[in-house]
Amino acid sequence: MVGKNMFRRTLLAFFIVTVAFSLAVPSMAFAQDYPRKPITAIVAFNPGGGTDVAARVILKFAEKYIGGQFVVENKPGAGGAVGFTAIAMAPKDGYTIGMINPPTVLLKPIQEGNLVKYSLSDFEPIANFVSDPGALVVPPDSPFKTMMDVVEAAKAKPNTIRMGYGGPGTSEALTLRNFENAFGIKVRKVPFEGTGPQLTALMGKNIDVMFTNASEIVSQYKAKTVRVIAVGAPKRIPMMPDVLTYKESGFDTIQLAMRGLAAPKGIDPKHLQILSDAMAKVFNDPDFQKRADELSLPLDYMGPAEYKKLLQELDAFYRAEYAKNPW
Amino acid sequence: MDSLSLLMQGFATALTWNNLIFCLIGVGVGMFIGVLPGLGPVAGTAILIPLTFGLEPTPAIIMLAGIFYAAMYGGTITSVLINTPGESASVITCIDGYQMARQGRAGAALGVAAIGSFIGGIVAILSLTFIGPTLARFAIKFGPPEFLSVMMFGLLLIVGLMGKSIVKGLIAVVLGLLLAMIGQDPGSGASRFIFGQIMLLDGIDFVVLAMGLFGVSEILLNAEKNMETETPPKVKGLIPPREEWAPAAKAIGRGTALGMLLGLIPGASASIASLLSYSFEKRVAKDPSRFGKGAIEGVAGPETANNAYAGAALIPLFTLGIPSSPTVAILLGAFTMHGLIPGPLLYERNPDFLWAVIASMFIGNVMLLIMNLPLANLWAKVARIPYKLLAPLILLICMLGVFSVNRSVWDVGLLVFFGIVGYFLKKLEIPAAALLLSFVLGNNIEFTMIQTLSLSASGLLYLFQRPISGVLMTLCILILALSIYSSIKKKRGQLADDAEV
Repeated sequence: MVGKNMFRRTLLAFFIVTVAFSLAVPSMAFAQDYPRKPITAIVAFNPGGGTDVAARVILKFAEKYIGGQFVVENKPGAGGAVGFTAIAMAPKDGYTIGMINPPTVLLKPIQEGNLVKYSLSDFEPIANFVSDPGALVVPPDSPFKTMMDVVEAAKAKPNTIRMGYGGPGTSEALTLRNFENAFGIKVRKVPFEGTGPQLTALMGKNIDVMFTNASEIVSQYKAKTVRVIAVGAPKRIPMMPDVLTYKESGFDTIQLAMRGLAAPKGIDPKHLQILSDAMAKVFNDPDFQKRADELSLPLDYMGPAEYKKLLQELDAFYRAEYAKNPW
Repeated sequence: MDSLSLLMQGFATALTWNNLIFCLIGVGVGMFIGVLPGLGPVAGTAILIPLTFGLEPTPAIIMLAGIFYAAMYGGTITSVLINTPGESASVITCIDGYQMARQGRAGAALGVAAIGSFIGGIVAILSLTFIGPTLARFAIKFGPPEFLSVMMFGLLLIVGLMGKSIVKGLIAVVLGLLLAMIGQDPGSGASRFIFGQIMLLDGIDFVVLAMGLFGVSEILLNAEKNMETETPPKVKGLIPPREEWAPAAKAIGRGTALGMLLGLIPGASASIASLLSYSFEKRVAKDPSRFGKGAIEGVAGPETANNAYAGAALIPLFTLGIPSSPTVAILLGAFTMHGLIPGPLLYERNPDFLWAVIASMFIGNVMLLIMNLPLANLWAKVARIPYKLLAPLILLICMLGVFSVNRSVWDVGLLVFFGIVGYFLKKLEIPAAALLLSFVLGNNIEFTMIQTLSLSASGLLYLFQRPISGVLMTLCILILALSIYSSIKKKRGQLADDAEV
């Protein structure tokens, strides 16, 4: 009898514990109602590229603050347009967001017209992460010490300076066009695919100057295998403190390749708030700042409102420039 | 300290258990990536980079470099066994490798490829150790005009790979060049031949085209014969017959030299190295008619060249900080992520790291040889699997491989389309290899020509004003003129001889 009673009591205790747990566990999990499952972050470029690395590092840190998981999904194609479209068309439940790359993300709908099925108004910006300034780069033994040296040389001998850039249609091409117009000069524009081949041509003296982005040549800059004569940031950058800005050099232009996070338009404002708060916290995390420094990420945090305003301004600027003349 | 004692210290670091394990993981993954058609070293390295975040720089780079050179070993296997190139550098191996497998000599083909790869790889690393910096400084002089002339030379060499008829060969080449035009025009940014499809804006991916024309079309062709392809009665061993030793060894020697030369030049690619090696082998062979029917040199030369290329391609990265190919660019990214600055400073600031990585490459190549020789025998048995079992597997691998490149279903559709195109090409005896190679060259020719023209003040005459491109272009013209002259002189001239593949 005693044994049976004992058995019953144990069973009861077991039952109570089980019920308690089964009640407690979901209530713990449901304490937060977003995110309840992993959030997919679309990256419009291949794994291992600049955008992918930035996204993976930042979102990894953000997991701690949001209390959930991020899954990076690479959707490359058509220079980013495939991935950007996927973000714009994603379900608005807050579980699909993605990286947008201004100005590329803005240029695609302007340049490709009907081919691209999204526009800026399809995105709800969450945060800007990095702003990678354009950089004017020369070989270490080049006679050009400043941007004005290039301008002077181009004035003295029009159409002789060989300048490497990212190819027609890129924002670099627009900067280069405005550079020529601002000083009334003409240079030889040589298109390149990516910084690597461009760097080879520069070091092999096949081109005289190259336009690229600062973070892509920071290691060569440190190794002094190239000289950077100007950067396209609004003020000098910590990565290259001794390099003048375009504006300081006499060319009043800002050239930035930006990378930030956006959701499809129409997501719940509460979800947007949770996401943007988490991102803001990441940028105040000293561990994250250290990691970003190791990776040479030119951090430039902007919250949703500020980012949205800037994107609209940039969009208007590029539309106006395109209306003047495509580049 | 001289290079040798530094290298010995590097071996001491590389031979620690930790580093050995990462080297083994790297070469293992690389082999696997090479074997899977579609999944090339670029994607493979990129996918694994995030996994190295938590590692020390030395094991991380040892592992990633391992993937890069090991993929060249693996790529051979599918080319030989199922006529589907594992990665772009092994396209040319399909021609004679697959024929060897049909004759039951798959073991010999894989064996000679592994040995050649080992020799090519080791010689390239030796030169990285001792004469790398000097060589790299010379190679950097290669600019757009030189590339353009190398590509033109390559295009001319494709003539040597054409099938039975020059006309059909030319059709293939022109089709390849046409397909290369799809996408954005590098000169003006205008979109061409995209038929309102945004997915075509980037052009057609090489992997999709190669898998379709080779892998899928082969299945379609065999389906016609109720999947009853005759399998070789038995697989002979790894060791080629004695009379093939000397020609194979010579081909390996030439492949090593050629691959290294091209690896040093930033911007060349492993597929060009193997293409040049194949054409060269065919030219110097006493009896060129054996090529296309299972000539051992046609496997030994190109497979050695692409491995020598992979080793030598690291020289510009280590010594000048220049990524010479897309995979090396990803490796450069990994360097930066781990706070290392590739270039001359590497030798001064991180010699322990640098020499450990170089030493690990010797070890990795030995590991690959050990893995590959016994495995070659095992792999070779795949050639005896009844085709009806093999076919769905090939189709699946092709689809997965293509999907893995851009994670896009569109590409899978395109694969099927090119599979059907490839089927008709084979029916009409239009050589698919010539199409594929002219497709690769076409992209580069157009871009380098635009670059050359924007560099030059004298139009295309600029090509002749620079010594290297001048020599190459003159050679092109001479070959062309001679061929035309001799074919006019006697109806079955030099060109027609070439056509007897």
